[in-house]
Amino acid sequence: MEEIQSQPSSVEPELVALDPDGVRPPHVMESAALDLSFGAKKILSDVSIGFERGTITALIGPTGSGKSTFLRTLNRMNDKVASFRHGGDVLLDGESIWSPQRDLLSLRRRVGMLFQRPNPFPMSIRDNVVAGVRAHGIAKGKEQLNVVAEERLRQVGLWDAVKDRLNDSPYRLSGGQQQLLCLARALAVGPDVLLLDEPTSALDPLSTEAVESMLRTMTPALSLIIVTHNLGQAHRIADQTMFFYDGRLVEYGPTQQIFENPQQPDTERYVKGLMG
Amino acid sequence: MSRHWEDRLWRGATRTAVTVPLIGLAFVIVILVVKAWPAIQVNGPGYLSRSTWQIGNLYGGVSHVHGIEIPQGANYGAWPLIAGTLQSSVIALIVALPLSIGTALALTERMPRWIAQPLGFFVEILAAIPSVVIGLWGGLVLGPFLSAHVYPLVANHVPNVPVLNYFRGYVGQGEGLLTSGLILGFMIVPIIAATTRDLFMQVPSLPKEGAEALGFTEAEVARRITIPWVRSGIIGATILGFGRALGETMAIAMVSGSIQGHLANNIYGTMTTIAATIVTQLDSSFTDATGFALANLAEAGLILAVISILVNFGARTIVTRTSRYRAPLGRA
Repeated sequence: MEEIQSQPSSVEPELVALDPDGVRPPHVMESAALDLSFGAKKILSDVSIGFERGTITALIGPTGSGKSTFLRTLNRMNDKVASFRHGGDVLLDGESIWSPQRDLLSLRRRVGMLFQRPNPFPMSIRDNVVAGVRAHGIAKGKEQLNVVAEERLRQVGLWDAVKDRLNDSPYRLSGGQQQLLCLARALAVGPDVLLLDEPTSALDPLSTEAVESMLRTMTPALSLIIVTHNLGQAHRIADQTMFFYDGRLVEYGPTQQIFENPQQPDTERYVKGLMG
Repeated sequence: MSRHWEDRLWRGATRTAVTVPLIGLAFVIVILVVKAWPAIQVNGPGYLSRSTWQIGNLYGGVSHVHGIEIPQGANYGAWPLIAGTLQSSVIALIVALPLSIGTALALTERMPRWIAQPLGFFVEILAAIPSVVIGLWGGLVLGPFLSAHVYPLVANHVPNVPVLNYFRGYVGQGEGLLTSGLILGFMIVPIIAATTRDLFMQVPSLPKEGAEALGFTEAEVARRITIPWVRSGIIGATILGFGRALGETMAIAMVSGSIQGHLANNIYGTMTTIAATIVTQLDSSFTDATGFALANLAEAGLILAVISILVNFGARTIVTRTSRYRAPLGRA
């Protein structure tokens, strides 16, 4: 990817069309000197980092370190908080997420989100999967929507469990199944980036494993950014890990390095379990 | 020992508390039936379909029907009352429901707390205005204004096709069906809006955020998440408002035109409702020495009670049908 990036002119345009990622910036998202605050309260200062396309990045750090706020900034979920202020910038494919040309709704179509607890919508299981597809007008008509619903439910491994009750309420599914349903819903609109805010913290170990193995199958088609308090989870699934502490990005690197050979004393204390 | 005694008292008290309303309801229905019985016997089922309200000749002879004394010429039919009650209440709902849901959404989803709170309080205060005051305003201000400036515009420009031609023709002086419906709508907005606002405040933020993160617009979040989440509650609040509209008496007696014996000719036409008839006819009914006029009012009242009970049962059915996907509150 790096090579293609450095000499795009040497590649035939037809081939470029076959691999659109090749001419995109290697970092799918990037934060540049990002400062975040709620009113007078500074949450995060001077975060400059790039998220590599098609990989899983874990954000770890103690509660209150600013990692969740950082995550929620990436698809502008904090914008509706009246006291929210930001300095610096966040780029998606090289363009600011706050640029006037950027449409908020299509930004969120490209940067999806999975939440701490499952949040199915008050509609049937099938309608949940296609809710976003419908809103964005990606597919229309019963036939097309049914195809999308089946495809996405199969992708998250939920199809066999729900195929006979697609018109039932999602709230009768188990917690893990509900979270997979929400994952199917987020995937259905075809995002480039999926933000995950402690997606398994409300799930039992078996469901957690199901979600984790699902996430691993989603790269490199998708770039994942996951906030987790579960260090084992970060270790198991992430390619890169970022350690946040006290409103700063302390260390960033390959997961292996962060866990086995951390460069900063704070990182070491945290990954060794010596810090909250 | 004394604690057992306390317990027995407690059980007795709660049992009484739960029984009293039931006995009260049964008592009201029984008394209505007893009082209406002579009218029910004389009128037969035709009472529901006839359009006439003749108290008869109170100074003439007395005739006997099924052994019941009635003034000569007395003839009653409640169809205009029933139709007027339902028509005006339906207009009220059509006006009030979107307005109330809009108000509630604005208060909970759009406005900052410092303005939403006093404004919400103001909406609740509206419900406390006595209906006689609203009736006075409707009869003196709203009705004349609408019939002078608004109704003619509508009446003259609506195409002459079925259904819509009900909006054509003579617009009257401001007393009539549409004014009644609007006044009723105005009276039930606070009830529906205040209840709906409380419901919306209970919708958890997680599914709403999920919808926003998926790229829903604010309107889509309201339409597809917030409103469906509390749909059965909204139906309940609507029925509460509808019930209030069905039974509202004073304001309608003041703006309906209180015409007996026929339905409104068009949507502006003078009319009456069951409740308004009972209050406007009560005085003259006491002058009927046979008691037949009072029996007819009792029968009308019985019909109103039955309509209200049916509406509530109907609402229950709708609620159980539409709450299939409803999430238990507080779950997500």
